[in-house]
Amino acid sequence: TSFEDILATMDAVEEERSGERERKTWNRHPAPSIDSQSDSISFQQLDLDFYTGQHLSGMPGPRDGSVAILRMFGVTMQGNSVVAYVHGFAPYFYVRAPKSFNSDDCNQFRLDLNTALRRDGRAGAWKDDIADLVLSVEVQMKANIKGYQGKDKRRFLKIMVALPKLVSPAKRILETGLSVGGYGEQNYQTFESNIDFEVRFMVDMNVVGCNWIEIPAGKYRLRGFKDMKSQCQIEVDVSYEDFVSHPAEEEWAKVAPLRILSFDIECAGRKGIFPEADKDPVIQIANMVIVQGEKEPFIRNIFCLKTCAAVVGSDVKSYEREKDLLSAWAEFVVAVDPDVITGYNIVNFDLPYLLNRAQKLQLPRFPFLGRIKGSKTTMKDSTFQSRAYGKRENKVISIEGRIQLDLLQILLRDYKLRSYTLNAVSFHFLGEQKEDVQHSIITELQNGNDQTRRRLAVYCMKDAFLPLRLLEKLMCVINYMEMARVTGVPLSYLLTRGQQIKVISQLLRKAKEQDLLIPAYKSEPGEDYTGATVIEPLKGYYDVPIATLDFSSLYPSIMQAHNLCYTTLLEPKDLQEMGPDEYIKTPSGNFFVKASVRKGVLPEILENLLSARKKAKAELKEETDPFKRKVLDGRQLALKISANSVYGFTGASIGKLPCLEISQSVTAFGRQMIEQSRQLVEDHFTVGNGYSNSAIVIYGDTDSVMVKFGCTTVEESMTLGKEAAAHISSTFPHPIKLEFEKVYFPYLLISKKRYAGLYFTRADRHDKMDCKGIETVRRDNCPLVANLINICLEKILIERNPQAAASFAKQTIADLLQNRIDISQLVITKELTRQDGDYAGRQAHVELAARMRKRDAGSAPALGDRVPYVIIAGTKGQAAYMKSEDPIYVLDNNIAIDTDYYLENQLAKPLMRVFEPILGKQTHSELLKGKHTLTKTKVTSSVGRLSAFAKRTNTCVGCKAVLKKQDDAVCDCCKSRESELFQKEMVHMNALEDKFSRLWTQCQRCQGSFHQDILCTSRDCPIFYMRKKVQKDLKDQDGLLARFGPISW
Amino acid sequence: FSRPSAFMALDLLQAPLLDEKSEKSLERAASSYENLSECFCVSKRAYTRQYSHIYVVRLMAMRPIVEEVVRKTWEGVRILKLSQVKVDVRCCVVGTLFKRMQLRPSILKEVSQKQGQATLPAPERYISGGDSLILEDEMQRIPLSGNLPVDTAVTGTVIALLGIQLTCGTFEVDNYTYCGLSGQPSPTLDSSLQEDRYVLLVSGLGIGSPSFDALATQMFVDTVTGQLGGLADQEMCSKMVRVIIAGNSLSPETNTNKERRSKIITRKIDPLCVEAVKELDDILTQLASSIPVDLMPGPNDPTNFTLPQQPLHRCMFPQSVKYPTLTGVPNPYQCNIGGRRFIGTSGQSIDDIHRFTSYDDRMEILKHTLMARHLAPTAPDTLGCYPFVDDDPFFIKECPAVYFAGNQPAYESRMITGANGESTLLVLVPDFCVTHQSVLINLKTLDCQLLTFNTDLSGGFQKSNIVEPMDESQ
Repeated sequence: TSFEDILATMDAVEEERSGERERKTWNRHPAPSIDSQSDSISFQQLDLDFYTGQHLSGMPGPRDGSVAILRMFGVTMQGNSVVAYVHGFAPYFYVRAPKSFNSDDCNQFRLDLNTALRRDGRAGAWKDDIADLVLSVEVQMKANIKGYQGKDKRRFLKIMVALPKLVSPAKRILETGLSVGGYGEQNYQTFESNIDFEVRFMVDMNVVGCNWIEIPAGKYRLRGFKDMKSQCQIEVDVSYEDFVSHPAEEEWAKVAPLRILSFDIECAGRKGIFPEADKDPVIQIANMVIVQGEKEPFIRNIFCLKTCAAVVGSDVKSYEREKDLLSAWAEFVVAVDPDVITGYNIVNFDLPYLLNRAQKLQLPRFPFLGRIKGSKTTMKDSTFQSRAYGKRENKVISIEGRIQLDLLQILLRDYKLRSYTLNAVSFHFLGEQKEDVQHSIITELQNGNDQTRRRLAVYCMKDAFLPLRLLEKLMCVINYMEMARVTGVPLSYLLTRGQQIKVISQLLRKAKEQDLLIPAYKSEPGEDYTGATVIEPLKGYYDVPIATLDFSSLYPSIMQAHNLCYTTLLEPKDLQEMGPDEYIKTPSGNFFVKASVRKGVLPEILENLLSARKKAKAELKEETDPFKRKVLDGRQLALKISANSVYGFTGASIGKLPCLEISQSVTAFGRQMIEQSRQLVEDHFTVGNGYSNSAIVIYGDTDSVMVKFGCTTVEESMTLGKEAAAHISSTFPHPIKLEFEKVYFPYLLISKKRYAGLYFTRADRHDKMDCKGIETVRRDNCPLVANLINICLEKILIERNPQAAASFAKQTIADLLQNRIDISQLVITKELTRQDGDYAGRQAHVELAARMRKRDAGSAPALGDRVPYVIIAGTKGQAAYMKSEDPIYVLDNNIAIDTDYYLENQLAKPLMRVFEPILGKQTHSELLKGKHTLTKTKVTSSVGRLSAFAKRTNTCVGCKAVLKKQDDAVCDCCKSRESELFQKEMVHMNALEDKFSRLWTQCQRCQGSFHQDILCTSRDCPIFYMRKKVQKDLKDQDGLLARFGPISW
Repeated sequence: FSRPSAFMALDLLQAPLLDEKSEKSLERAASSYENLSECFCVSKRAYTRQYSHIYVVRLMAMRPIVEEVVRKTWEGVRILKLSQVKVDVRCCVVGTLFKRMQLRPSILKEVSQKQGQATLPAPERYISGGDSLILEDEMQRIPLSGNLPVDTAVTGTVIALLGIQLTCGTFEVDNYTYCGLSGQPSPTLDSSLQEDRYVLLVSGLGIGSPSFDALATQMFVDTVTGQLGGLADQEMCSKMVRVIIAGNSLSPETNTNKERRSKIITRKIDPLCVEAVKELDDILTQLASSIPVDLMPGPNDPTNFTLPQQPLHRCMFPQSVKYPTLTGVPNPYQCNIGGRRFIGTSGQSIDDIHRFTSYDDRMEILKHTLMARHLAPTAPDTLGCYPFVDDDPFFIKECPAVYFAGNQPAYESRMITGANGESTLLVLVPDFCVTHQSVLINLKTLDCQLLTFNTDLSGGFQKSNIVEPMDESQ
């Protein structure tokens, strides 16, 4: 089904004409008139930031100089956009009070710090403007969160400064040493001085990401039209003490009708060069705007350079000048006032391109896409590093008040995929191929007529539409919203920050309740503590049921059961003061007080998260409304992820508050429990105890043990598994629980973390084939590996026929060596991320890109492109990276594939792993060196140094003897078999033609047009190389058949 | 053959005539013959082209014809390109019809299907409730609604639609028309047709099939060659001027390609049809020694896959090829016999339309293709087809005298006539292997009869003749 057809059958969009009409369709419904004395205002808060401004009279806070004013952007249930300016909240942090400090010294402390700050070079330009840099110093009774403190609270100084930017210099001054009054110069340890101002505010005001804010009547000031500073429809000023923040529960779990804009741009690049904003014009911008929860976008339009024929079901706007196109688009964005902006790679491509282009074209009014009038949209580079996501270079684009949900970034974070092109992604999740048009063709289409530009427009609009469908399919908006609510951070943090901020936000909230303070830890890279807990696998192929017992939420439950926390940690020196019943020693030799003495904060957080998850799951069971179900499901998932990230937080050495005592104790407990479970199973389920067989634990992973009970049916195994789970759970402290989850039957245990099995959760039939750590999704392998391994595993596990699997593998190896494997199966793809020189080692895809540039700069891959290649047979001893070649070039020139490379470097290891447990020691000799590997096909290339001298001689189709008459098909000896030999070749021809017609008509359907040539060059498409290869094969086969004589009678 | 069978039995039982001289030696009659299948023979094949061209040339060839029909039937209606259509303005549009089908098989799905998911057996028919229609011209497409039967619409036909474009973007159809019957030059009939002259159509000999009936096939051969039957039968046979074998001389069991749709590998495999081809050579030798034979290939025969299928290669028939009376012809096949224009296929196009529409009556499908003036409208979409560039050879330029499709489940014939006196005999040639039937067409009268070769011995040896009512005018 083509996109054009989908577009055409959507509900009609009101035709957007120019001027007034247009504004009406784009704009939000006008806000109702509000009486600030009698109407309260509620909105779902989506984005939150602050700016430095002047004090507003009637609001709390210092009256002179600059103050920080927070802005909460949101949408009401009626769909009106709101910004609330929150006044009076000032940044602060803590230090330990010096000994014998008393409250009378506070003012002196304040003055001295103030002076030091004023002297400080880096405290910024506000110095002169602000009377008091330090607003107040106050003694509070608090405790350090780290280390068991008994019931004692100590004196801390709460230091409040005028602006968030002053926190960091104040912290530095205090840490390096400040002399205050009569106390002499001291170094102060600071607490909570590294907390983002927004997070500070949210924690203190009990605001969580995406929750509902209600401002009661009479408590706010409504801004009149001329005072409005933003594009929002409603603007209010409110004191930080006067609004109500609703927890996201019951009525307040609802979601406002957000406007989501998805867009995509096309640029007219020059041949062979990735579009550059200072040279190549933007020619089209497609837009789709949808209201969250609705089915179809209600605005579907495209801004085109030059005329463009109409596209049914959407609005086409043509501009003669690129300047006008860009300006009109910027106006469009402001008029639509989206809450969320999405697209595919908009943050790192589309938006920067537009901004750079506008600068080049000197459009000073373009870069104002945010909600704040007069606030320019800027962009800067940022490097983001995280243990979970690795290092990423990103652009950061400021569009105030609008969330940027770049779908590519979401996918990179949450999904492990073979390829992240929009094409590959939409095929993976939606089962749809997307036409992929090369840059150079885009320019050709643009330079054609209004019909070719129309074709481009349809393509461009699809690229704007797909992100919306993916957002919906993957429930991104809802899931991210729930994650923000659960962890308490702003929505935008979820894509721009790591895991830690989410834990910090929760920890702060809990610490605040108990007057605990988090020290500002200076992170130093150290050894991350990750302890894998594994029982050595007894490798092999098990043709009996293997029951799997899992500890549910293992690490969180250990922390809860043993009360492991910052607040319960005991130093060895503190032990004398404790009674022997008051603390425990963990298997890693650390000490923690028991919950009876002091309940830990982390266990409490975990308890809240897990009980909230239980509740969400229970509600999910009851709920019938599909939309609310999505919300609840998103919530329970967010809660689970959050609970698991707490452990990681304590173990991350580059973190806000690492505590190896906790993390190593957790893993040590885990290891002990796995071992203990093994003992219990093997001691209890014995023939001696009346069981028909003795059980053996064949493998134990981080949180699971695999048990061979010795029974033969899935059902028995399940019964015993449940019994074992209950038996073992009873020996562990609450809430640790071992659960029986599934049975694998049969089960192929390859090595640590690598296994495959047929997965049963019910006795009658299997749920799926489950593979762990096996080459099925690895990105740096060619597809043949995954396909072959998959088929073999299927034959082993589902058909239970290891011999058939082995012979299939052999057959495929023979096919490979005899050059019969479809080339698409051999293509390896890597992204060209840096210039040639920047790679340390020489790499196949980089070398190839360089060679392709020499051959034809026009079609060579540019930076950022993915380079597909195959390894070809080179000269002896030539390095593999020099033997990479463009698959299309290989097809065109009949170049021989290095089949040995594929056998040895791609297939050998994965095959060995799978078959070793089955075939044992002779695996290598049998599978990789057997008889089937003896026949190899030599391919004569049409390029290369020798090919010019080589003369192709035709040989007999039957016996390969060189023919006397070159135009014949068979030699005299084979003449009697001519009919038979002809039929063999004809049957092959027949199959190729079948394939040809099915492949090329498929592409026609995919592109949604039958009267126009297929332009798509999507190398991610599974049939791209096939359709090229079949053309080539047909030509050869036709030539061969022609030697049998003319077809006419 | 028009006499009741009782008389025939008498003939057979009569004593041999003793007088040598009085035994009549029958001469095989002849009629003029002209092979017009040049357009279906593609000698220099090139596979670098795409399928868009064939749609464009098809539309270009047929648009003037259908526009002529439009001007006659819907006077004063404006005929517009799709890009010119305006909302709420009644007009006529011409384009190629496409049916969007959910169940249509897709190689993309097959290739990317995860292993482990069982491949469902292909359904017999691919229609479903969610199917919808689209019209496309050279530039763009438009979804259709209204008075146009989705289930019987055939992808790839050129059609003219009368209606209006709704605000939602679909085109609401009031009425529609195809090219229809037109253009049948008055035939210059052979002088031989002053007497009865017959052409025999047979299809689906099915050699190699488990149900292959050697006796029935031999009876068929012997009857044609005049070695079976009474004097009258022989006399009748002598007036047979030509046999057309309309495909599937071999059975599907000899077709090797059925099981080889593997996704990773395309390997050459030994053909299963070698023995069957030898047997076919024998049968052809017997036939060709007595009568001109035109051998069309069908989907099961060892030739290329895509339409037009090229003639079976001479090298497979070392014996029979020696007779100049044997001609390998393509599928589709077109010729003039005694001045009568024959066009026919081995039935793939009819079978394909049957799979993708709700038609149960195959005669209706055959008629539909004639009215739409196209032998294989679903090619290339769901029916394999060579990527033609300059010409769509399946476009029926002239209304033939006889239009047949081979390998159909049951025999049927129908005469249809057009408004301008065009008349065409439509024939569904039954599958011989299943029905033991072949079709005899009288070139003089265009009467059509069925020959059944019954080998059911319990009922005694008999040859039944059925005369079909003719002249079903349309």
